[in-house]
Amino acid sequence: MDFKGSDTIPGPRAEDQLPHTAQSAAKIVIVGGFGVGKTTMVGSVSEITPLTTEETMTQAGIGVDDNFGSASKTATTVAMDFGRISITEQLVLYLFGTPGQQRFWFLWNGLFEGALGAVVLVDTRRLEVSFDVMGRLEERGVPFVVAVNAFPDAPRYAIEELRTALDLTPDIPIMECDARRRASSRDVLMTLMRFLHSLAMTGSRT
Amino acid sequence: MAELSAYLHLPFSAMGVLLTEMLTAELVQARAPIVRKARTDRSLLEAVMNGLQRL
Repeated sequence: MDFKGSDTIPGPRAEDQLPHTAQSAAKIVIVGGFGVGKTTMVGSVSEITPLTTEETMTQAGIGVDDNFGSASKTATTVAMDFGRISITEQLVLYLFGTPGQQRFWFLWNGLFEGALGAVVLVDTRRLEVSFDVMGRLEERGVPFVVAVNAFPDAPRYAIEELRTALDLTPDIPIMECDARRRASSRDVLMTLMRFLHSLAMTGSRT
Repeated sequence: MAELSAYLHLPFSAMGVLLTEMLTAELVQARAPIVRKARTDRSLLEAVMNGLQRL
């Protein structure tokens, strides 16, 4: 049904449709620099086939998109990734992966509206990309946790070393993860939830 | 909205314009999302945590 040349546009598969019992939705945004694995993370935890507006990187991106350290990367997210997790019959959690490239920052405006919090995904080979992203979140007052995506060929650092390198305050959780693994990505989301919960308890940093 | 634009292969901004028109014409309904309050609702966070644990 969904091959090229078909006239009908395929809608969601039956099992991907939002249950009618769903009444409310919460939103989490996954951000990070270029090529840190946001798409992978949304895909590994989403219960629906994640929707992605990822396109093959073209000649036009050469020299514009800095893909240092990910030379084999041939596709990048031009708009966003979208995934969903049903928490209860009434409550769904939406995951949005958003592009790290600076020229897509205009998308952030709508995306962070009403978001509970954010996950900043970091690649140790290109830490500097994360600074801008974290700065923007702080400006907006969006609470976030930092997840270091452990690429197999990336250098490993002690978490505390990374905390210093990223100039994170001690209250912001930072952890290692493997965005390809569902359990690992789920743990990242759990960490964010616990962090938000502790913020709600203390009432600080709203 | 993101879901619609992905299925229809339409740009997000175009979808926004279209949906706004449709809302005005009462062809679609919009449900308000949960907004982040000054203090996030703890019960909501707890519900999400419980749900994630079951994944």
